[in-house]
Amino acid sequence: MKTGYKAVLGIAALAAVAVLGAALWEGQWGAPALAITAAPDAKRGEYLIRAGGCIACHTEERVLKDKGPVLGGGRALKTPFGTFHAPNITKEPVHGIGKWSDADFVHAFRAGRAPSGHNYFPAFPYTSFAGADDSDLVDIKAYIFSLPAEAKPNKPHAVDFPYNIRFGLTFWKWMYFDRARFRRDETKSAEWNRGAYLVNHLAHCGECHTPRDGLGGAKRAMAFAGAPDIEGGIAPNITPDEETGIGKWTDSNIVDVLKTGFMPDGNFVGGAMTDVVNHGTSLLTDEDLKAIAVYLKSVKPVRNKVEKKKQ
Amino acid sequence: MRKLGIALSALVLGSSVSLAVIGASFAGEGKDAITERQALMRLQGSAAGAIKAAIDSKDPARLKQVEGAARALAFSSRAIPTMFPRGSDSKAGETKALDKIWADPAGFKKAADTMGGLAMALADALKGGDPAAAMAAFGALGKDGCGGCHGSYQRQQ
Repeated sequence: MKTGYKAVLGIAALAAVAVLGAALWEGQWGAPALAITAAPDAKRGEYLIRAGGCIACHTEERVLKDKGPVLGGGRALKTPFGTFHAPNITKEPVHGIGKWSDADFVHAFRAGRAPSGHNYFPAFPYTSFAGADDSDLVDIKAYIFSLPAEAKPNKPHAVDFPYNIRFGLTFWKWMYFDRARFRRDETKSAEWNRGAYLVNHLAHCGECHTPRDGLGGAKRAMAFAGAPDIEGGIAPNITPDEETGIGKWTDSNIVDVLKTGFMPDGNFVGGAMTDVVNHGTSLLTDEDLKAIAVYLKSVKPVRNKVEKKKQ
Repeated sequence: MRKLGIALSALVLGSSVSLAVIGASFAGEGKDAITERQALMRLQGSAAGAIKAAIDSKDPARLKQVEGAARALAFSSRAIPTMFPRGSDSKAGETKALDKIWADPAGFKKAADTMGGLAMALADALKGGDPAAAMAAFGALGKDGCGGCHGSYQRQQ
C-alpha cells in the first residue's frame, strides 16, 4: 500500500512538472514587446488583409454577399473536428479586439494565444501566420482599426470531444507548431522569396491544400498535395505533379485562377475557393500573383490523386 | 476551324435559350439532366477559353471575333435554371450540385441572371476592342458570374 501511495505521488509530481514545463515552454503568458520603428500603415494593411484572406473567414457569407460591414465574425468553419465560428475581430472593445495592443495582436499570430493567455484552436491558422512579418501584422491591425466597430457577440465553437479540451492544444502545439519564422533563401530570386512568404505564411495556402493526419497536424511531406475534406469538398493538389497536380499549368494559368477563378480547362473554381479568389487573391497585384506562381511551380511535386471523402 | 467551333458553340448555346424562353426544358430528367447540364457547362467553358485566349493575344481583331461567343454565354445562362429539375440532385448521380439549388431556387435564378448580365458586359467590352477593358470584364464574369453560382451552389470538385 505504502509503495502504491509513493507511486501515485511520484506520477502526480511528474505530471505537475510536465504542466509547468508546458507553461514555461509557451514562454511568457503575455505578449512580448514589439521591435517596430515605423508607424503602422493602414493603407498597406488594406492590401495585406486581402493576402491574408481574413475578410472571407471573419465575415458571415450573407453579409459578404450583401456587401455589409466586414470582420464581425460568425461564419461557420466545418472541420472533421467540429464546427468553429470565426470571432469578431473589429475594433469593438467588448466583442471584438478593441482592447488589444499591437503586441497582443502579433502575439496571437506568433504564439496562437489570446491576450488572456488561452490557446487558440488551429482553425485560426497561426501555424502559417506565425511566419508573417511584425510590420505586416501591425499594418493589418491598423487597417482593421480604421473600419467600423461591430457590437456583434461571438458564437461559441461546437468542437467534438476530446478536441474541445483547450489545454490539449498545448500538446498539439508541441507536436505540430514549429513557430518557424520566414527564412529567406538568398540563392533564389526576390520574386521566389516573395512567393514563398505569401504561400507559406500570409496567404496560408497549405492550411487547406496540405493533407492532415488524424490529429489535424499537417503532413509536411505532402505539402500542397491536396486534401479530401475541406468545407464540403476537396482542395486540389497544387504541387507541380504532371498527372495529379498543376504540373502542366503555366505561370499565367496560376495567375489567372487566382485573379478570376478561371482554370485552363475552361472550368471556374467553386466552393470555398471562390471566396478566396473573390475577397482575397483577385485583389493582389500581378507581381504578387506571379510570385505565388513561381514559388508553387518550384515546390516538390507530389503524386496524390485527391478523392472526395465518401459521405 | 476555330471560327467554326465558335459558330457552333454560339448556335448550341443560343438554341438552348430559345427552348428555355418558350418554357421547354432543354434537359431530361434525373441522371440525364446531370449529363446534359455538365455538357452545356463544358461548352460554356470552351467558349470562355476561346474568349480568354483572344484577350491574351491583345489583338483587337480577335477580340471582336469572340464577341458572339460572349453573347452566346449570356443567352445560355437562361437555360441553366431549367436544367436542375427536382430529382437530379446528388441522389440521382454524380453531381457537384448542392441541395441549396432546390432549397433556394430564387437565389439560384438570380445568380444565373447575374452571370448573363456580366457576360453581356463582356461582349460589349470585346466589341470595343480594348484588351484591358475586356480582361476586367472577363475577371468580373469569372468572379461574380461563374463564381456567383460555383461559390454557393457547387461543391468544389
